Amino acid sequence: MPDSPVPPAATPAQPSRRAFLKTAAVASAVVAAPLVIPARALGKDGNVPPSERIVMAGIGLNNRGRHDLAWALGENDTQFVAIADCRKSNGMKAKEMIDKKNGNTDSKFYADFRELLARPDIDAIVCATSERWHALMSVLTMRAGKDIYCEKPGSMTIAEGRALLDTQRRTGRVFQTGTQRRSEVGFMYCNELARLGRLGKIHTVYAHTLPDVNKHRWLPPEPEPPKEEFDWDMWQGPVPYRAYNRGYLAWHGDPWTHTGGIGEWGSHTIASASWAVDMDHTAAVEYEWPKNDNGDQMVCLWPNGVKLVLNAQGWPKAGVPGMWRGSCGVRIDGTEGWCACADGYTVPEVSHPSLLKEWKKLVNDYLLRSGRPVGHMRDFLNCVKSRRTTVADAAVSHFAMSTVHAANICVQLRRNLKYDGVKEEFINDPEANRLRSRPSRDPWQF
Amino acid sequence: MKSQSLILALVLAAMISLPARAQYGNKPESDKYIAVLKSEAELKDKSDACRELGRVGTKEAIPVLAALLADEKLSHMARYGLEPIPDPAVDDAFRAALPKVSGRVKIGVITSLGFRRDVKAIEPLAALLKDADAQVASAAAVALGWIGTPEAKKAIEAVLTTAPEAIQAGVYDGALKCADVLMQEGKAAEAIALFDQIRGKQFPPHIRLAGTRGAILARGEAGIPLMVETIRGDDPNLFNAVLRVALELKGPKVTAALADELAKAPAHRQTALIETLCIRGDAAAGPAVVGLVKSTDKAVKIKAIQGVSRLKEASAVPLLLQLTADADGQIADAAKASLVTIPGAEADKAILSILAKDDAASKRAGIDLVARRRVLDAVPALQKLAGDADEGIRQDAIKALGDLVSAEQIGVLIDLLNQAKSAQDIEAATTALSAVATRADDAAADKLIAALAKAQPPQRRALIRALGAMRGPKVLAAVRGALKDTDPQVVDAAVRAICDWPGKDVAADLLAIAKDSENGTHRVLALRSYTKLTKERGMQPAQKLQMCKEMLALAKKDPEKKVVLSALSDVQHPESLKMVMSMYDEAGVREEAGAAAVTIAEKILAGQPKLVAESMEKVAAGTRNADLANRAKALLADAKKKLPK
Repeated sequence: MPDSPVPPAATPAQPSRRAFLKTAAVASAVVAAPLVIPARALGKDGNVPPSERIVMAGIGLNNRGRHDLAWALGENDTQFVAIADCRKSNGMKAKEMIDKKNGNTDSKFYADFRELLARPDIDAIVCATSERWHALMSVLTMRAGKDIYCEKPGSMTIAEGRALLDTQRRTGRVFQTGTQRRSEVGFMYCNELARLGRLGKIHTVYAHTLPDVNKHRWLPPEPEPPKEEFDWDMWQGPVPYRAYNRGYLAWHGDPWTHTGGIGEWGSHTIASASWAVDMDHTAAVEYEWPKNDNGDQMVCLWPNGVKLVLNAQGWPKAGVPGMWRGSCGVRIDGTEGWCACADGYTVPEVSHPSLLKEWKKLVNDYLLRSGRPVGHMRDFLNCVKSRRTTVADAAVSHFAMSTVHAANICVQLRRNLKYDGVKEEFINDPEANRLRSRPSRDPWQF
Repeated sequence: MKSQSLILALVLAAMISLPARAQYGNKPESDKYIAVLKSEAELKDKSDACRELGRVGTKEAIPVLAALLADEKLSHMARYGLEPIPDPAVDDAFRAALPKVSGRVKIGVITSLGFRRDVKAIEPLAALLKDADAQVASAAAVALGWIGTPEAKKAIEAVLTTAPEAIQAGVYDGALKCADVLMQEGKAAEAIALFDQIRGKQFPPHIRLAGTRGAILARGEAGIPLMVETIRGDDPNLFNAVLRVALELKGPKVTAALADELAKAPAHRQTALIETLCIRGDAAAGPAVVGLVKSTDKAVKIKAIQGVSRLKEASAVPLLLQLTADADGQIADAAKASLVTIPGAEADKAILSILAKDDAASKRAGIDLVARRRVLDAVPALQKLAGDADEGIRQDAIKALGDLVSAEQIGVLIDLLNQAKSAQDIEAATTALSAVATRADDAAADKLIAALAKAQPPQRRALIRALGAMRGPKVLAAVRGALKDTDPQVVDAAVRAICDWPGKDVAADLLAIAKDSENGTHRVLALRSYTKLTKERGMQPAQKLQMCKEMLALAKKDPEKKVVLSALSDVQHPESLKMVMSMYDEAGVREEAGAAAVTIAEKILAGQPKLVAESMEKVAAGTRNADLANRAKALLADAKKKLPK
C-alpha cells in the first residue's frame, strides 16, 4: 500500500452535505440576494436544488482558468458566487461567465483573494493563477477550510510540494491538481494494460516534455498600471520582486515563475507515467544528466527499477521520427508490448492491434472498480461531496513534481543525481540539497 | 514506514538545522558573489548574487547577506541567500535582525526563523504573538508551529483561546502544525494535549476536523475508541474525516474495529467503510465485506462485490458465481468483473468448475471468465468445448483459446480450423488464430505457412488473415504468394493483409494492386494504403508529391481519384496545388478537388500568392459548397493583398 493516505469513501457518506439556504444568511452579508430566482436555483427542470450544490468561487481564472470554469459551470451541482483576480479585466470576464450561468449579476468580484477565502459560505475553489502561486494558494485555501481544484503544476520547489501535501493531510481537505489526463479514457486504458500485465513486465516509461530552457530575466521598468486595475505586487506574489514590465506577463521560460520545459508538460506526463507503474507515492531516485540543457532523453529511475525517460522530441519533425502525434504523450514499454497515448488520440497507439481488443471493457472495468468518472473536474466535485481523495491528489502532485524539480536541478548542476525518496534529499550532494527550497517573498508564508 | 510529517522534520533537519560543517559551499563562487554584494552593483546584479549564494554561499557570505535583511529592496533576496546555508550563524543573523525590522520585512524574517526551526527564536516569536500588527502576530504563530517543540506549544497555547479574531487563523494553523511536528517527533503526550484542545467545540468546524484527525493519530492504537466514537457520531463531516484517519492509522486492531463497525453502520455509511477497508488492503477485513455481498441495498451490494476482489477474499467466489446470473445487469457485471480480478488458484479452480456445468448459460459465462482471467489451466476444457454441439459454446470456446494458448500451441487452433463445422466456426478460429499470431514467433509462422499448402480455400483465407497479424519476410512472402491464389476470397484476404502491412516494404505491391487489380475495391484500398505511406514520419513534401504523381497515374475512376486528392491535400507544395486544380474541371471530383485546393492554398499562401489567387478565384466561382466558397474568397482576398501592386 502506498504511504500516501489515499481516499476513503467512493460514495457520499451522507446524501446532503450542505444546506445552501441555511448559509444564505451568512452569505447575504456579502452577496445581495437575487431579486429574481431562476428556475435552476429552485431545482426545477431536473437541476440540482441549491441545498445539494457545491458553493464555489474562482481565483485567477484567465485563459486556462476560464476553460476550467466552463467545466465547473457545466456541472449541475455547482453554484459559483465569487471570483478573485488581481487583474480586474480578467476577473470581470470570468464574472460574466458566472453571471450568465446564474442568470443574475450577483456574483462578487474581489481584487484580493484573501477576502474571498474569508467567506464562510464558500465550499470549494477553482484556482488557475500562474504557477508561482499554485502551492501557496492551495495551502491558504485548505487552511481556510475549503477544497481546491488547482491547475498544474502543484509546486515550484520540492519544499513547496511537501508543504502542500502536509497541509492537505493535516486539514483533510480535498485537493485536485489539474493533470486532467488522469481522468481521460486513453490514459486509463494504458494504465489498465500495464496493470493487468498485458504488456508483460514494464521496464521503461517515456514522458513527453518540452525542449524549452528557462533563463532568468530582468527587464527595464515600465510605468505600473493603476493598482485598482492590476495589482502588480499581488500578481508577483511569492517570487522575488521586479519592477513592472509587461514582458513579465509572458511568464513561461523564467525560473522564478515557471518550471520550464520539463515542468510544463512533465507535470502532466510524469503524473500519468507514475500512475501506470504504481509509483504515485515516490519521486524518481536517480537522474542521469543527458548532457544538454533541456533534459531531453534524461533517464530517471524509480525505486521499482522502471526507467522514466524524458522525451522533449516527442513530436515528429522533418527527418526525425516522433514518439507521439499529440502533446503530453506517455508511452509504456513492457517485455510483451507497448502502448502510448497523447492528446488527440481517439484510442491509444499499441504495439499490436490485438492490445486494443479490450478497449471498452477495460475502461469500463476501471470505472466500475475505481468509482471514478471520466472528467477531472467531475472527479473533484464527486470527492468534495464524498470526501474521498481525488485521482490526482496532493501526493500525486508532490511526487510527480519532485521528479520534475529534481530533473531541473540535475540539468542546472549538469551532473547525475541520486535522491533519497524517503528523506526527500539528494544523496551526497549538498549543493543540490540547497536548491530544494526557496523562501516566499514577504508577506507570503506557507 | 515513517509518516510523511516525520519526513518533513527530517527534511527540515537536513535542509536547515545541520550543525555547522567545517566546509560548505563553493568558496571561489561564493567570494565572487560576495564581492558583488559589497560593490555598488545594480539591484539586478545584487539580487542575482543573493540567489546564487543560496546555492554556493560559504560562512563568509552570512554577515554580508545578513546586512541586507533590513533593506526593503533586498531583504527577500537576502533570505533567499541565507535560508539554505547550513550554519547556526544564519539563525543568529535572523534573530538579530528581528527587532530591527518591521511590517512585511519582519514577516519575512519571522517566516525564515520558522522555516529553519530555530528554537532560540521561540521567546522573541512568542512576544510577537501580541504584536499590534495582526499580520506579524499571525506569522509568528505559524512560525512557532513550524518549530514545533514543547516550548513553542506553550507559547501557542497561551493565545489559543484568547487570540483576537484578526490572528485566529494564524494561531490555529500554528497550533495544528506544532501538534503535528510534536506527534512526528515522538512527543505524543504533548501532541495529544494540543490536538485535544484544538478539537474543542469553540473552534471552527474545519479546525476541529483537523484536530480530531491528529488526536486519533497521535494516540496510535489507543486512538481507536475515539475513531469508533466519531464513526458512530452524527456529524457526517467528522465521519468522513475519520475515514481518512483510518487510512493513516496502521495495525490489525484498526482493521478489526472498522470491520466491526461495518455491520452496525447504516447503508449510506457502509459503502464508505468498505472503500476504506479496501484501500487499507488488510485481508482480515475480507469476511466482514463478504457479509455485505448479500446486502439488500444495491449500492452496498455492488461495493461489497468489488471489495471482496480487492481484499483477495477467495471465500466469496461461490457467491460471486451465483451473482453472475443476477437479473440486475449491474450486479451481474460487477460480479463478473470481481471474478476476473480476484486472485488465487482457488478462484481459478472454482471458475474452471463452471465449464463442467450442464447448462449452456453457465458454460458460456465460465468461458468468458477463464478467458478474461487468463486461466491457462482451462485450455484442455476449452478444447473439449470447442467440439460442443451447441454452436455458441463451440465458438466462444474457440475464441477463448485464442486468448489462452501460447504460440507453441498454435497447432491446436490450426486443427480446430481444419475441423470447423460451419462458416461461423471458421470465423471464430480466424479470430483466435489472429490473436495468437500477434504474440507468435517464427516457429508459429512456419506452422501457419505449412498449413496453407494443405488447406481448403476457406481455411486458406483464415490462415492468410492470421498471417496478416504477423510480421517478417517469410510471412510477407507467403501473403504475396496468396495474391495469385485461384480463390478470390483468399486473394481478398491477401490484398487486405498487404494493405494493412506497416511501412514501405509493400509500397511496390500496393502500386501493383492499384494498377493491375480488376477489383475496384482492391484498387481503392491499395491507393488508400499507399496514401498512408505519404504521411509517414519524416516524409518530405517533394517525396510526397512524387508518390502522389505515381498514384494519380494509376487512378482511373472517381473513387480512386478522390483518394489521391485526399493525399495531395496534405502536401504543402505549389505543384500539389497545380495537380489538384488540373482535376477541378472533372465534374465527378470537383468538390473534393476544391476542398483539397483550399487546404493546400491556406498553407502556401505566404510564398505563392499569385498561384493561390488564380486557383481560389476558380474555386470560389465553381464550388457549390458555401463554406468552401467563403474560405476560397477569404484566401483570394489575402492573396491579392500580397501581390505586387
